[in-house]
Amino acid sequence: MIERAVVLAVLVVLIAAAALLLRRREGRVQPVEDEVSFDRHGLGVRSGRGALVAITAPGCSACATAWNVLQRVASARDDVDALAVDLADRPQLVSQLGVLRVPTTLVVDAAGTVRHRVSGVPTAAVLTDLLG
Amino acid sequence: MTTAIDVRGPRFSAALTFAVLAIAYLTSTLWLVALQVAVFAVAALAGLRWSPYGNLFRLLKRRLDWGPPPATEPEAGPRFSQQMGLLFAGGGLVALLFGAATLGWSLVLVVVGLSGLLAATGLCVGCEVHALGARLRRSSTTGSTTSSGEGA
Repeated sequence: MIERAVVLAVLVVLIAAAALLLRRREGRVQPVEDEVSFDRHGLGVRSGRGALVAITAPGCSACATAWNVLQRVASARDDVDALAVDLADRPQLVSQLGVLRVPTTLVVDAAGTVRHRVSGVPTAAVLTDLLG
Repeated sequence: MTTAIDVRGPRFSAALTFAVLAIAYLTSTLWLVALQVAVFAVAALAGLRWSPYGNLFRLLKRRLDWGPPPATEPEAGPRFSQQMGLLFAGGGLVALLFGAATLGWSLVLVVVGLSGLLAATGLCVGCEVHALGARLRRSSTTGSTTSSGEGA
């Protein structure tokens, strides 16, 4: 009984550690150093404008939350578009950037270069800050 | 075709699963493991609509007025997770019935750990595995020819 209580306690500590790690990673911003050009063709983005790109997957409820944030940020300014792409539709982009998680948000500048990526659900303040 | 469910439902169910199996492990109570296996079996085979824990969640939601869902998700991921739960807890139960205590409780503890994680963080490992499988199947069948500008 005591031995089992210890095993359970260890398990609970592990879960708590995983929860803390996940919380810290949520909304984490990473700069994208490689020159990754985001192909805008067929996505309805006008050139000369920045973009917020949500990488999503079917059945991902956090993606819908992230998409709402992106739309809110983009609609509040006139130089940025928001768009969403399905992970499975852009395997090249996904492997080039090493996207492992949905939602991931890409911050694309007016020249079409990916500048930052945010994993998890981003906050509007962080996105506005990254767009400059 | 796909049923959308309140995202709080699976977390509520996971918390109950965690409690039931943790108590079963602590007190070596086989019938509690059997009870959980039966709950998994109903949800996994008949659908989440019939899940005993899901129905308790909906009852409490109505009675206590927990308000509308903060978000909904398709049933497929959580249902796959219930099937995985059935596989692990069911396997554990069989092992326990045949006297393989270490193997049996280890399998039960896997379910305890993953349901605890879902209850505490909202991260559903089974759903992630299901989504990954769906992506792999989709990208191998449709290739990379389609593009989408639609909302998520």
